[in-house]
Amino acid sequence: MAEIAETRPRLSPAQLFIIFFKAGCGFGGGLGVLALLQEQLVTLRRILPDKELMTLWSIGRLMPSGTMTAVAVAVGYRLCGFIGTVVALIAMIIPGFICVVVLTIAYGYLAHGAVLEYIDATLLPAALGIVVISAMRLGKPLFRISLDMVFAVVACGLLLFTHIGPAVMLLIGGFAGAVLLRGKPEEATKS
Amino acid sequence: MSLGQLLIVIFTYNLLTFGNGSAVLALLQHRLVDDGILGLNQFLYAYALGRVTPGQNNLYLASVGYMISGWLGALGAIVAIQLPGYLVLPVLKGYERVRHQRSVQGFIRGLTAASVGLMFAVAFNIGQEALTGLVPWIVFLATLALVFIAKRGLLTGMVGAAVLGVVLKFIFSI
Repeated sequence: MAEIAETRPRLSPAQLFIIFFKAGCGFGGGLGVLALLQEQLVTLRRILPDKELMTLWSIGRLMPSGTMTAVAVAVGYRLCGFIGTVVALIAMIIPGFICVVVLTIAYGYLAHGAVLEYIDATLLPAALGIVVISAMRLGKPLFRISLDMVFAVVACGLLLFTHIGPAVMLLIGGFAGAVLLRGKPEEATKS
Repeated sequence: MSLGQLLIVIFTYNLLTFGNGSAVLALLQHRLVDDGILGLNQFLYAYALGRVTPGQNNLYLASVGYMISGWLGALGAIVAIQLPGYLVLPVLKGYERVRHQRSVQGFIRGLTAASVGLMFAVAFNIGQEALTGLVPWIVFLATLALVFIAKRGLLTGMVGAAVLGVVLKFIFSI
């Protein structure tokens, strides 16, 4: 089972800032940010296991805020204490915040121009690429025949073809898991 | 609308809608556009910025804040949408106490599996909007190729493929 370890500081605020600043440069919304965060924390620095990041993201989805906000708070606290939560949030927000405000100031020039159309045709598909990669990497432990994979496929299908909201779908998955997956060996979730 | 009113609106809507960006969007549109505080074009432009700039999509609220109250509005809006994220700390503390119980372990496994399904559903939805022609498809596949085949990092892969897309779109538009 994924463990949310104790809150012992393991990174300096400066290191944490760099990690979250890089993650904040990800396009494609929260999942793009998650993809870069996963690359930094799991693949390159090996600070967090895949499963722990995935658990934090899942819990973050249930929070009344942006999911990555909750993840930044949780990871920042986990790696650097309370100051880490502030550092992680600020670092993650800076790239997008600056771009959004600058482009808002330029509203009069850009609103009817071709710049946004260019971005839509180039950055958005590239961002989709890293979102897909992130989903594949984080979902890798589930890619085998198991009850967990059935849960993932059913959840994906229900989200695509019904009007069930994401938070409600996750809660359904959680409660169904509490009944159907309790006490079962974790053959499908070992990383 | 005063700065204080704006921040209360953003904070409250964000708190009530559990990370469901679409729901926040609908509520804000009703409050800001239907009440004549922002033009529909301004609101849609702000929303589009959230999608085409780095970071979380909800950063578009900084644009809304800027349009209504300038820099203070932008900064205030960002703080208002980040604060509820701190609720995750007591939730994780509570989780630490009970995580060894079998039903809680099952809950987290079910939640995690559903989250993976959610990620693919989100990717599918983005794909429907993003992959609308030859150039977007090439850019998308080039990103995968740069990361999986050329073993480049995600940022390098994304930027490299996007630059390729700009070149291709320019060539096709001549």
